[in-house]
Amino acid sequence: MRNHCTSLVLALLLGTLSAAGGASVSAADVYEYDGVHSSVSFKARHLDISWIHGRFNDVSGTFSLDREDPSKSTFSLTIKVDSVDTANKARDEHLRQPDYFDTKQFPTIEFRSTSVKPIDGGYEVTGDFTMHGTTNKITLVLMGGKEHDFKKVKRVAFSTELALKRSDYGFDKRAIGPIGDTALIIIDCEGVRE
Amino acid sequence: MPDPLLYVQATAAAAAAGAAIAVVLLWLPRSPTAAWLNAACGIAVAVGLTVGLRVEDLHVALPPAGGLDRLLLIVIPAALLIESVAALPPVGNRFAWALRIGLILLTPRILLHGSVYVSDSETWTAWQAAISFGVCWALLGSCWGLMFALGRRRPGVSIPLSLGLAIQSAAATVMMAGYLRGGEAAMPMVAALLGTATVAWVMASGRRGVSGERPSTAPPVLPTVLIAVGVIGLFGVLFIGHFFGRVPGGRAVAICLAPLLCWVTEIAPLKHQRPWIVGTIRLCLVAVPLVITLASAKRDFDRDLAPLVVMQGR
Repeated sequence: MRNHCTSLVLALLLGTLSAAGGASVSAADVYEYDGVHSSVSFKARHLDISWIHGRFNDVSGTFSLDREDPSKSTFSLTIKVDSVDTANKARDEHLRQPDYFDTKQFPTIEFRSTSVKPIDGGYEVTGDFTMHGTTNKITLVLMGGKEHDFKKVKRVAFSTELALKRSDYGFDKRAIGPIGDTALIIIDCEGVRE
Repeated sequence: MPDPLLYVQATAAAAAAGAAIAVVLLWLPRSPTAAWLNAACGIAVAVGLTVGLRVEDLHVALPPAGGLDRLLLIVIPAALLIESVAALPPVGNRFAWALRIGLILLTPRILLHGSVYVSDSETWTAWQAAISFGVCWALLGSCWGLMFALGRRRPGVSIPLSLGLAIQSAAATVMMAGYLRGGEAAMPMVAALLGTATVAWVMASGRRGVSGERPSTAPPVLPTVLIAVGVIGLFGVLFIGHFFGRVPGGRAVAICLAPLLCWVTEIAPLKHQRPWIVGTIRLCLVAVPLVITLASAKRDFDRDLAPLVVMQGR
């Protein structure tokens, strides 16, 4: 009888612990980057009088959102630089060369979050941003995060804008030329999960 | 944007620095040994190249990040070191060639390190990699071996001059393909090589005249380091221009093989001509394929990139 009681207490204890552990895992919803409904675009000054616009067509990523403990959420994004598209084929080829993105040497631009803080209407995400072989810590203000359920597919969306100096990422300063040093990157992305 | 004035300044500075160092180092010993000649000319080329790159303000990443950084910081210094070691008296010919073959085998892999060609299996299949490396080894090995053999068989300042001509054409081709930095780095390389070679040739000719070691019609033997740096520099600039830039493979191979046309002067009717006639014929022969490839590169530039530059410049 005493052994039975001990077994019952242990079973209850283990059950409670595993349930608690399971709850913490299930609280983080994992979303895949939806390339169809997302975009990573950029613009840079031309001769300091106008803007040149472009986008990256091949992007992937994952968001893990923990609604109960947002600090445990993670965000990652990988951009294939070869997919740069400025609506001018010759310029795109030029941008892929070593004077600019050097896509054969540095094929991806990556962001990996290291800390997440909830803010009003979104998240403040700090992480490592790697471009052109150089990694710098940046902070993104991701606005959004509201989940939408459409035909049994759950979606969540975020938007952010950030300004980066190309000279901070090892770009040759003379290659910056008539195109400004600062590039504005606009990210509008949807994450999707079944 | 290209800055022709800056290129002229960098070229002049590289040539002057290389020549000045060569004058000082070759003037010091009364009758310099082959080891001293190689080491002195190697130092002169290295200093000239460094000065030229500084004047150009060309950023070289340390540790090396791209193909050009690895060419300037690893491959060319390795060639300088190998030729300095190879000329030391205790080092045999076989060991010297083992070192050179080692550098020939390693150079393509060093230049491609960390790139999609060696890190992404989707870019190259095993067969593509094997063929590409094989072609590069054959090209670099044959070019280095044949220019070296010609330098021994029938020396002359026309050999480094033809290599310099080819590197300058490679620089222009790489720049017209849209990779400015690749071409810019080659310009001080040519200037340092030619500045050093000219001083070495003038001083060797002067010494020969004084000592009367050789018949007056035979040109003086130039240090092998000048051939090594010329061949490795030419191959490296074309290699990064092709694999990281957009220089077509056929054009790169044509420029790389152009200096081998110097061998034409070894055929019977030309063989016994005076050295300056042989040298002139060599340079004219080498210039022919270079002019054709440059014209072809200019045509592509006018079609693809010139409209973009004009639009950006407006």
